[in-house]
Amino acid sequence: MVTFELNGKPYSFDGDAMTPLLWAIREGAGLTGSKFGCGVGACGACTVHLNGEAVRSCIIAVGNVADMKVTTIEGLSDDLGHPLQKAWIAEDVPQCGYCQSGMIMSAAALLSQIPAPSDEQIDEYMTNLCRCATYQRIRKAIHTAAKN
Amino acid sequence: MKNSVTALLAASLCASVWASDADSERIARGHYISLLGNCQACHTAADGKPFAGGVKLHSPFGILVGSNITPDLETGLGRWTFEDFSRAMKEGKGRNGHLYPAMPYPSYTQVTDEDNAALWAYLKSVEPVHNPVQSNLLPFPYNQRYLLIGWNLLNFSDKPFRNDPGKSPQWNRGAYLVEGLGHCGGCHTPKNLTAGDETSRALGGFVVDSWYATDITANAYAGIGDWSVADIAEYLKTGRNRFDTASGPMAEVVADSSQYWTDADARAVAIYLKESPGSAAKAPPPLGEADLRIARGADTYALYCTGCHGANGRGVARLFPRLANTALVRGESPASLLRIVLGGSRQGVDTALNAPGMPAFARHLDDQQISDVLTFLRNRWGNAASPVSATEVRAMRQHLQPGVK
Amino acid sequence: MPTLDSMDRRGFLKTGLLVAGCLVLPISLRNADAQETSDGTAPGGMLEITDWIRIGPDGTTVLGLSQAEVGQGVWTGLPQVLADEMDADWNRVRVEFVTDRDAYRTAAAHEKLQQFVGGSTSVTMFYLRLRIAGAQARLAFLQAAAGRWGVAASECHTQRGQVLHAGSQRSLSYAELITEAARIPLEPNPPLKSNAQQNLVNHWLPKLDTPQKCNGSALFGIDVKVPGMLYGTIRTAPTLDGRPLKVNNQDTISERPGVHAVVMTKDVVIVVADSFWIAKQASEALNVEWDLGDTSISSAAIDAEVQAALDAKDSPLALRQGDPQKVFEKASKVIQADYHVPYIVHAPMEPVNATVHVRQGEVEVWGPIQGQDLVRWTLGGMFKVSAEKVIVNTTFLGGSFGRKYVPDFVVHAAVASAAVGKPVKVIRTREDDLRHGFYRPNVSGRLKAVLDKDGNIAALHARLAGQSLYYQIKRANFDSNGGWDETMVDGIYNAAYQLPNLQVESTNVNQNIPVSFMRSVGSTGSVFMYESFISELADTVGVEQAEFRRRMLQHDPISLNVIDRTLKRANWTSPAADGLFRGFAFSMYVGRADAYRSYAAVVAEVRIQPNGRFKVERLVCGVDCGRPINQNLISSMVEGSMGFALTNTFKSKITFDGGAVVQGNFPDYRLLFLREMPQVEVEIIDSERPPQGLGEITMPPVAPAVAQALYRATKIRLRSLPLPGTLAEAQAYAKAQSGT
Repeated sequence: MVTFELNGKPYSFDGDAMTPLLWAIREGAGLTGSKFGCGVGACGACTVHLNGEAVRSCIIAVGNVADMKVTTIEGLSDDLGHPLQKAWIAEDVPQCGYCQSGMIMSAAALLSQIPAPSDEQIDEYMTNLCRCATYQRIRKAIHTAAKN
Repeated sequence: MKNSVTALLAASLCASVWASDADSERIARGHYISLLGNCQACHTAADGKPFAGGVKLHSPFGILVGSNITPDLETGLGRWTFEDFSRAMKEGKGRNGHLYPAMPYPSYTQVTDEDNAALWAYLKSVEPVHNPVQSNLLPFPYNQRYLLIGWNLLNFSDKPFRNDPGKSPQWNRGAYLVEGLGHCGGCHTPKNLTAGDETSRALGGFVVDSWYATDITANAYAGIGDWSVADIAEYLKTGRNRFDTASGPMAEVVADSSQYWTDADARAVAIYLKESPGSAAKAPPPLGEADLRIARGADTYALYCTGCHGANGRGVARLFPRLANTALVRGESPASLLRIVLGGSRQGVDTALNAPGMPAFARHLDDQQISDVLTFLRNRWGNAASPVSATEVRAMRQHLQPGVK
Repeated sequence: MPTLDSMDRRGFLKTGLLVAGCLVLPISLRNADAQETSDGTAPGGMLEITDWIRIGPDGTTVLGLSQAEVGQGVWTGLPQVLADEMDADWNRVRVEFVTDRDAYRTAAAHEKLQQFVGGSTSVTMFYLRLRIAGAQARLAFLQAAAGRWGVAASECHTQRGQVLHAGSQRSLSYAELITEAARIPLEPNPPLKSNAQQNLVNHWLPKLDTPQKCNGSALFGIDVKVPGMLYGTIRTAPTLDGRPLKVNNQDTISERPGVHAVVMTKDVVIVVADSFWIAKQASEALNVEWDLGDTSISSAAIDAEVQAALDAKDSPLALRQGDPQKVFEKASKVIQADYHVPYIVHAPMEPVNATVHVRQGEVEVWGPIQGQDLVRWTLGGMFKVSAEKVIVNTTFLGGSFGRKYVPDFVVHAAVASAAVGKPVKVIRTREDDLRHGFYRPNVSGRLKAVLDKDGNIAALHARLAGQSLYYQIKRANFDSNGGWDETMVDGIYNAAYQLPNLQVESTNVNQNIPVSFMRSVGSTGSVFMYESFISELADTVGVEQAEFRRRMLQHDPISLNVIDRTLKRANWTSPAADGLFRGFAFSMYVGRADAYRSYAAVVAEVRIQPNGRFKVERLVCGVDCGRPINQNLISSMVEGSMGFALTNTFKSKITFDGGAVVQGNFPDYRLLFLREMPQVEVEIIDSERPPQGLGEITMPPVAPAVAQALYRATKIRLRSLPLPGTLAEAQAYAKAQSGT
């Protein structure tokens, strides 16, 4: 049994402790906002916050996060209230939308460290993959969110 | 973990039921001193009985094997007196000739008589084990012990430990532990041509068994200058702190030895290290964007490393080591970095199956990719250090997997 | 009643999305007929008018969408057309996916009538259809209101979900009228608005699906959960052509805690378990004996075969205009170049998956389905039920680019469900997605030309060779053409350019490799070659790139306009900044079976960075895709297509060795990073033509424009995709080409 804080509430996962955190979240807790894209930590679709840091949950065993704080896209805000979500809507960033949960979680971690990142800092930090290539609007939305 | 000290104490008590209270107390102290000195690292084999010897030590000159120091009459120290033991500890002389400094007598020479007495009492109390060990497996001419006379002339001075009255008791305790029982310099101090300590660069970092024992001076660039006393103590006691996670031989040191140290002793070591002069190591100019390795390394990092260590190297405290602005990645030698990237790493003292660990990337990354990503790490996020070549990667890869294609 | 204006999208999300209490996908709509109550009302008291609109007494307006949302924006664009024509209140509409009626089916490219998304045909196929439906509904509302008021319908007008009678200042909402309106026979040929009257079409409007894609609530196929559902994954052969023969430890694995079944099919072994992770672990532990099939498949062998086809004496003729042979025979100088384009694969971010429940007499599917009827036919045939008994619930697709049209992944889920008697969601790993995909085939080309004394093309001969897509999946078309594949020569044999003498040939170099449609199909290969060659020809005679092309487009004002507008937007005639090099390419994209024509021109600006890497700094894309429906959607799609095309240009390559695909996951099949995305400027060219296809049509000119810019930067002709990424790699390529 692995217990951790999930979106502000205690959650216990009683499957194999080696289960990747992503699947504990998606199937154990039923929170399907974090996505499966590659399973090897390369694409970032599974990005969540672990004690405030953006990590890729498909490569982290749930047993490793005992007693830690996990935040998923569902827990980022109530009602699309996070500045990034508002900016994402204002700029109409998503196309297929599949990568966007992870993308927003990465951007949220970035803004928590660098409130007004430059293009270079965005370029360096944001390595989540988007097959639809919505990157131009992502960059714009991060700037928009940073202003607000 | 600390409970095992008590458990071992109970076990050793059983073995010496006739011991008096004073004796038991001395034996218990001796047991703790053996933990401080980490005797079992060399004298207790992985599958062997306590202190029965058999641990192979790879020295630059060849293989030595830790001897049997149980009280066994034929194969251990059963016939030794305390004076014999004291001479071994203080002068590096055994009953059968000079000891090789793999037995770190240049450090142990600082151990007080009282501590030696306690240690001896403890060793006499452990179960005698019949296990013949031939210690000297060095090739000719290194196996000629008389050569050590010369070595000692160059590298050894049997000065006992002296308190520095101008320093705090904790500092002195820390000095006693670091320079003496802890023999940290055994791994962490660079060696001269004869494999003696380069005392001018004490604790400045050294490669042992292809692991890099880092600079642990107070130098902020290469050593523990950014660590607080509490950080250092936490590292010794748990194998991890907000900066780093022990791996390889240091993970074993934590597992076998320092996790059992008292909080006071761990702090004393920390204070000593923090208050010592830092090494002269300093950052080279960082490799800039014009170096293609940095760009390629950034891509490799994004695909393989970001998931745990974070897009800007921050990691997750006490879970995934921070790679940003940390001495961990800036060491003069990239040996440990190579070992960890190629071979993976387990948490210091946490041996549970699902304990945090880093996977081995040998199969996933080729030599150029590892060269790129380590060069990238060493020159990004406040780090600046020499690049790592693909040749170095290949050498470590072959060391870990002889015959690999 | 909250409106979109008053509560902004957050409220829309809350009220507009989920069918209350439903664990199933919110956007599926089963056959409404099956759910109608005896008085003809649809669920929730909503009434239908036309096949596309349902209105509830509280004013909820549900617009049906028949085209799966794959990221192309139909979720907004098509309802927008409908809402415009019917004068719905756009702020109160909700979109739901609809299926299982002929109204939602098209017979694109002489294929069987079916509901599907593909070929960038959604807008072309449904623009008129939706407008007619919208107009029919609008007329019905007008007549209903006029009837109630006892006035002539011509005295009334509609606006934002209401009918108004100006004379008496009365109004009635559609919701109030729906009961009567739903009974009025629909006018078969209703008058449609003029372009000037449209008030939604040709506007920049926000996307309706954005909010739910920003908080994780949008449901993709992989997110489906239905009561009693189990999870599965597949174990695939080490080779493309491999088949399982025997599972040696079937019993042991089946008995593992949490494993429900291990099922061997003719191509894979499926493990069904309580969770994906248990299924995956079990799958990896299976001890399978494989028939490896054709282990000879290798890139080395394929490339050699293609080369032989280029060198061969003959090749099936796709097109001959004029008498090119005569010109070549008499020519003193022939310019020739060979080009190479590799296999690539879709790799949508959401790997294929499906949830299927096989029940007595019917089958239900939930998933990211691109071809609803193809799934019905496939599963109907498998389980011997009629197509109507296969219920298809379509979610959002996390990208597809053509992949999710092939129903193999649905079949796996169906087999799994049949084995355990429960719904099963089968998710494929990324490795299996890359290694057992349906590839966009390779193509190589040998292009030759003779230039006349004025520097124009006197004759051009293009021979293309590669694995034919249509030979494998549309054999009838391949054969009826005369044994050649029109997708292979797309953009060459039907280019906008007018040439006096042109010969196009296409050789099928067949392989035992599954292939399928992938975004832009053959044209990303063929147009790379054609436009690159044209650029080389222009340089040979020292004619400016655009001018050289204009000369062949004098008959085509649309093409000329696209070129001019794009170049103007890119400041083409001003000198480039220091160290910045530019290239240009143009293409007209002909939709399948000439369903539409769209035009795109691209200016690429590249720089060589200090570390030697090539950086595309800006792409300017001008597009004429007919009358714009929604500039937001166009802009978004074009930006994304530039990035997708850049991935093709610099990164995408699938190779084969020993019968297996070499690439396994994103680290070896790389996608563009955000930091590699150039600044993209989109020049939308207004047009009076009806809306044309867009999703695929801007990609083909990107690679040749970039290659031309890199030529300016390096003086090296780069004729193979993916292009080298650094100067050193380009120099190594040049050295290898020159044989030194």
